[in-house]
Amino acid sequence: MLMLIAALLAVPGGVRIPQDADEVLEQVPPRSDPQAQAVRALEAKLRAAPNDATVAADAARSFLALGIRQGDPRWTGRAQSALAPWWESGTPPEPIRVLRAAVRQHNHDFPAALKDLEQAVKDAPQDPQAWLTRASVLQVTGNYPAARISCGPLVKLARPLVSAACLASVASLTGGLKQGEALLQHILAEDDSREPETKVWALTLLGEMAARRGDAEGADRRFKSAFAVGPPDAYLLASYSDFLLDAGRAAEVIPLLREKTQADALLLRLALAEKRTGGAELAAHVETLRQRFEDSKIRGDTVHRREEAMFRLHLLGDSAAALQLARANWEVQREPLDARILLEAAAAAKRPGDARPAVDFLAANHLEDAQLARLVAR
Amino acid sequence: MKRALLAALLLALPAAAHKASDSYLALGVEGQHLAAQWDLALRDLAEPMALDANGDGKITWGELQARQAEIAAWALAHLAVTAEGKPCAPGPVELAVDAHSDGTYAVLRFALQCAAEPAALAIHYSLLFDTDALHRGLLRLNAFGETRTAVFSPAAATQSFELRSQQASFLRAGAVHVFTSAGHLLFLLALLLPCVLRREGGRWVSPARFQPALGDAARIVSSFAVAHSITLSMAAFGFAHPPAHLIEAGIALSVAAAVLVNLVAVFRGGGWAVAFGFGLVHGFGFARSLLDAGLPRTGLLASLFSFNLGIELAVLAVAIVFLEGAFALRAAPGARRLALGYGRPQRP
Repeated sequence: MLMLIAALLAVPGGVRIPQDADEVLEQVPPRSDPQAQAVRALEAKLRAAPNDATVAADAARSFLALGIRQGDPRWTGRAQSALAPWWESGTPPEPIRVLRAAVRQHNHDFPAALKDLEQAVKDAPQDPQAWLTRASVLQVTGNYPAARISCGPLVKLARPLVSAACLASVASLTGGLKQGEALLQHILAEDDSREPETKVWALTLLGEMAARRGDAEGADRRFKSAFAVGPPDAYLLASYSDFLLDAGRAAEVIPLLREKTQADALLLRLALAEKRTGGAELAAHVETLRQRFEDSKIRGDTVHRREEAMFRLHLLGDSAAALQLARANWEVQREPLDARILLEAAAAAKRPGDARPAVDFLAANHLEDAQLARLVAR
Repeated sequence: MKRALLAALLLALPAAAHKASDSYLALGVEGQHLAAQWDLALRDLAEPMALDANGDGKITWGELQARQAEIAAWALAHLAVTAEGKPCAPGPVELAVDAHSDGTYAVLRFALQCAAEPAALAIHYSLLFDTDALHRGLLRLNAFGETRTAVFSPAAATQSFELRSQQASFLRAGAVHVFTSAGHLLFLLALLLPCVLRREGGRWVSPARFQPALGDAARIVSSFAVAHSITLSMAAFGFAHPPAHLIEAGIALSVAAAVLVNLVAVFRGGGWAVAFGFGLVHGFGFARSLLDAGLPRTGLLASLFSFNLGIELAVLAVAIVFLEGAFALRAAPGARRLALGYGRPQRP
């Protein structure tokens, strides 16, 4: 009851005219922020030469990288806009096609992304980005053998750390968790590049692998090393939060994500942690999430299904709705988290048969994951 | 490889880990005006409108207010509303704020002045599409008691909406119901027949002049109207709900009774009484159709009035066509036998 009242109080108070001119309404990056300045410069170049493929590719690449760091789809939208002159083109210039595929991947339009990437690796087999993005799409959709093949050319075309991360990631999902982990760790120790993103990525993968093995201590150490490299991206924050929640350390999630409520995936994990620890803002955060999923529905977005299934199951306790979402999500995405929410929702809804596709998939690929194994055993 | 690899793409973080960029446009038809409320995320306005004037990373109410005119001009340049091909002109814009699930929004409130009450609208929305292909304009359009929603995207930037006033819908529903249910039509025709052809002294006779026939018909139609209005209103306001099968049976009985009255001529000139008595039953029949169509929560009385008016107009149309036709044909050979199916042959 108290929660309900709090939720009602948290509902936006409606349209108002502020009385105080100094009232702060929103935070944005300050003008001196180098990143914001770089974006402004890119946008100015784009405006001056909207049909210049090099300018567009530079802008799209930067916007996509920002989107990954912040988890804000506005950047994906801006990347797509930069590519607008070639968005429908059957023969876009080379860097444009791969970037277009990356945007489509972010929009969860995996078939269209893959179609672009098949063409890209044919037209420009020397472009590591095409092979890497292709491996990524294939891995997300659960096509591991093809993903592994797509990692192959990276051995020659990219830094060892990139190809190792690509291969180790696939191996860890197909019965080679230990070997993949050993390979990646070895290459990471040798890597001397100054590119922090790839390092963070490799350490995040290593943390996840240790967690899947059930090695909480090792996982924690690697995640912490990833945080030490530089500012964490949204993926690392989500991944570490998931680990902390599973390890019964929900209280540590709250300071980690308190300021990250803009990202739905992170707000969801914050609310999960607040539920476990009795956090004061739980009701308000649940209401915000409910409203955001509602807004996405009006938009017609379906990219939220995994997060919404987790929300419905763990925060609203609506297992039937969660199961429906988790099943629809499984048709599109096949990462360990996708299998997990399907198993959890099916168990909660007392319809274990509905999780059969995920159970079969995990068995067929020999996927090793302590949490998933426990769920399958149930 | 000069350019940095997007290695992190392999992580495949869900793209919509955030809520994407949306604006919320609410339009309400109020006569010739459209009342508009348009909510725009400050995070979307910040860059194109240079909201953070002092560059400290905080957008204050004062900074927002200072840019009110520019924001209004920019937003309205990306929204075009036309009613029947004529543009609806925006009036002055009032600025406010509102909290949405993903941050603070600027709220623009204004009126759009159309040339006449719109029956159809075309809306073109193009805000932010040039810089964010994933931006969407989410429309809620309230017109004549009906709310519809639409999503504007770069691929669907112009959309058209057929509006019909609720009263017109109910008027039409009433008229359609009369024409599409045999029970009401047969009853009416059976009652009107004696106005142009009736038994007198064992013979079928027809009035020499149209006027008395018209008077009789008017009495019948009026008492039918009064009677069914009473029961229709009772049912619509929830005072009476007779079971459906009784109403169906009652309507069938009314047709039989009206025919019988014609043949045995029990009520001389008493057609109006039959019309009234059974009109009460027909009113419940009309009510069922109205309730099936779904009563609006607001404006029940107006809707009921429109529905009833629709019935009345349909009844009048039937009566006029029938009377005109029947009167013109009444002298034609065999008309009486044709009309009544049987009857004693008339002596020459």
